[in-house]
Amino acid sequence: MTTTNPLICKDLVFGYRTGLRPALNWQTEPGQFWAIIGDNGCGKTTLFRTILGQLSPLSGRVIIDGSRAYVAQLGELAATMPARVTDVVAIGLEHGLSGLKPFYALRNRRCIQSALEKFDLLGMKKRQFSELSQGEKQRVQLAQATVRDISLLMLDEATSGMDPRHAAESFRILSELVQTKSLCVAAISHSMAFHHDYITHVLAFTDDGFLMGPRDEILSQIR
Amino acid sequence: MEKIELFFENWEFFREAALSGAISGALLGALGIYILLGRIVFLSAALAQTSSVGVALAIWLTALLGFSHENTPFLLDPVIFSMIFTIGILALISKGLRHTKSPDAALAALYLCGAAGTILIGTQIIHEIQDIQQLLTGNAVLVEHSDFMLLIIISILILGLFGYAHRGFEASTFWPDNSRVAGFPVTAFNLIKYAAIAIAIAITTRMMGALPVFALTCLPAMAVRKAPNLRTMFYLAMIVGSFVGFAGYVIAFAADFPVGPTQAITALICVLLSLTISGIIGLIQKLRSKIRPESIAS
Repeated sequence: MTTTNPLICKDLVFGYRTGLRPALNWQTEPGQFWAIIGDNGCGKTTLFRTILGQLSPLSGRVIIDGSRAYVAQLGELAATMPARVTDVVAIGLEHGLSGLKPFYALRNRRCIQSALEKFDLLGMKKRQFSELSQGEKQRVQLAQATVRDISLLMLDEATSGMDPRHAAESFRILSELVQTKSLCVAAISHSMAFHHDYITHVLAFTDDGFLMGPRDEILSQIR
Repeated sequence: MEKIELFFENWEFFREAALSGAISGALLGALGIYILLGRIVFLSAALAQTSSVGVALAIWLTALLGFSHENTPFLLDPVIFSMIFTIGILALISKGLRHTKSPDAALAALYLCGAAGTILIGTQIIHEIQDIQQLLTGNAVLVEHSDFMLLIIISILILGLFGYAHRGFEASTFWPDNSRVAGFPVTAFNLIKYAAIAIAIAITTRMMGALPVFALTCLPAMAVRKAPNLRTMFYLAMIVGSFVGFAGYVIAFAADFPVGPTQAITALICVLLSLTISGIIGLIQKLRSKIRPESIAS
C-alpha cells in the first residue's frame, strides 16, 4: 500500500492541559523507518496518543493517509484473555466493518500464516497467548500489527521485553517491510542498540523542541 | 426419582418455566464471558438489582394508576418497563463510569440502591409482595407465555448477533486501542454489547430473580475458563448455562428447594467440577513431562 505521506503533523501542539513543547511540524514518507527518541517524560507517548486520536491536539493538525496499526504495552484484559497465538494475530485483520464477518477468508488465513512465519511464531501458534513470556507476547503483537497491509506502523517500546536476538530479528523484519512494502514505521525506543542499522530517520525530543531528519545527521548533532 | 418422574409427567405445566431457565441460562452464560473476562462482574450484579427495581416500580405504578392485571398498558408491563428502566439507568451512568477512577464504588451504590429500592417499593404493594420476594430470592415457578415468547425472540437475536459478529466483540472488548487505531468501530460495538447485557439481564430478572441472574452471568463462564479461545468459550458457556438453568429447576422441584438458589448452587458445582477436572489434567500433564521429558520437549 503506497501513499504520498503516511503521516503529517502540522503546527501540532500536544499535551494534557498545556502544550508540552513548541509546535511540531513533521512529515513522513513511505519507506522511512523513524526512531523517536528522548528522555523519560518528554512527551513521546503523548505525541503518539495525539497522532492516534486518543488525545485531542491542543492546536494544529494530524493527517494520516492510509491504514495504520499501533503496538503499545499490552493491556490487562488482552494479556489474560483465552486465545491462542493464532487468534491474537487474527485480531489485527479487524478494521472497518470486518468484525461483522463470522469467518476469515482464505486470503486472510494466508496472511495470518505468513505473519506467524515472519515473526518465528509458527511453532507456538496453538499455545495460549496468556502463557507466553513478555518478549514472545511482543512478537505476537508485531505479527498482529503487520498481518494486513498498512501504510503506517507506530511502535511504543514494542521490543522492550524481547531477548536481544529476537529484538534485532524483529527490527530486521520490520525493515524488510519498510523496503519491500513501502511501510512507514515510527518507533519510540530508549535503546537504539538493536535497530540502529535499520532506522533511516530520527525525531529527537530536545530541551528546546525537536530535531528531525536523516539518522546520521541527527545523531551527530545530539552527540 | 419419583419426584423427577412426576415433573416430567406434568411437563405441560412446567414446560415454559423450565425452558425459560434453560434459555436464560444459555443467554446469560454466553454474555457472561464478556462480563467475566471484561471484569464488569459487579456491573451485572448492579444491573440485576436495577431491573428488580424496574419490575417493582412497574407493579407499583400499575396499582397506583388503577390498572388491573388484564388491562395493564404495554409500557407498564413489568418486563418492558424493567428493560427500559435498566437501559435508561445504564445510559445515565455510563459516562460517569467511564470517567470515574473508582467505578466499583459507583456500582456498589447502584447495587445497594437497587436492593433497598426493591424492598421499599415492595412494602407499598402488599398484595404483590410475593412477586417482590421472588425477584429478590429468585424463585420463578411460573412464567407468563408472553414473557416466554419475548425471551425466545430476544435470545435468538442477541445470541445470533454475538455468534455472528464475535470477531467484532472480541476486538472491541480486549483490544480496544489497537482496534480503534485500525479504524474499527469500537464504540458502536461496546454500545451494542452493553445494551444487549442490560436487555438480557432485565428480561431474565423478571422471570428468575436477581440472584440466579447474577449467578448465570458469572459462573458458567467461570466453569469454561480453560477453553482454548473466546469462540469456544462462548458456545461452551452457552451449553453450561443452559444445563444449569434447566437442571437447577428440576432439582429444585425434586428436592423442594427454591429455584433461584438451586440454580446458583448448580452453577457453582459446575465451576468446582471444572476446576477439579482441569486440576487433574494439569497433574497428569506434569506427571507425563516427568516421565518422558524428551518427548514433551520435542
